[in-house]
Amino acid sequence: MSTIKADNYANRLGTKSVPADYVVNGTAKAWAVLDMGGPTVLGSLNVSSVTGFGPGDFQKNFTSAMANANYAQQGSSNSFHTATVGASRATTSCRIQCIASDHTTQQAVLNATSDVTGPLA
Amino acid sequence: MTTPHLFDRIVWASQNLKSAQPKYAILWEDPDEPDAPVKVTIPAPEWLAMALHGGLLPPIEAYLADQAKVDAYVAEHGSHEGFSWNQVGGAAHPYADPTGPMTEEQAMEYLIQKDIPRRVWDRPGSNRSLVAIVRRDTIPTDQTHRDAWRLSDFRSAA
Repeated sequence: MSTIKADNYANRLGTKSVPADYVVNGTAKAWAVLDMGGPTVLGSLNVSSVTGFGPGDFQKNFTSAMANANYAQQGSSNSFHTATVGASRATTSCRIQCIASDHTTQQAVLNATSDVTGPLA
Repeated sequence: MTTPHLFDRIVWASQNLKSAQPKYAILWEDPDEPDAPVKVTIPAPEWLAMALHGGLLPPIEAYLADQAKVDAYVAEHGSHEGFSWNQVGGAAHPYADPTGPMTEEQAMEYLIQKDIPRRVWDRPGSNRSLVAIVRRDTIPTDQTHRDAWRLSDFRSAA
């Protein structure tokens, strides 16, 4: 496997550029698509397993840990609201909950996605 | 030749291995939450493919050693707040030499130690196991009464 080592990446004219660290740290380090009914992991990267705590309440466990717990986590689903449980964010796992329109009830959904951006350990 | 970072191996696997949907799931109860419903842990198919292939995943001992570092930090500081791997000498698992291929059963045992809290599966002196490996097709898809599920409901399927 070959590696390109650079401080910056630029367009051909050199008029626009982005630091290499921005690209490295801004690339998603883990993602998963879940069918919460199964539950079934439909696709993933850097996720060893998913733990279901109840309807619409899941935790992703990372294969390769994040450097610290200050990473960004995004989630989406076809529920009314998808919440990422900030208090449960750890270097080795993070949690996502899908909330119904009553703003309280957790609901299992067919497709819930979650991805994580930040530096790896 | 140094071992590539675990994430590099994960990316290689995502491009070269066919994912493997697991036949089994892990059911477990947390002794710290005796009234909570049973938890269900499912391997990710991409991870399972790496485990079956071999030469990619770190040995479980690397994860356990890293967890011990986290536990020591929490014991000293009272919580995970402020934790980073740099503060505890770095994480071992991304750089550990990989282990060999596993059977799916071995992969499930590996996953129990990696992703389920130690207090669940390491209980010397206890006469009741809080963990069971079951076939996935024994888990109901209807989650209407999900909050009432208990490990004892699935014992016969283990």
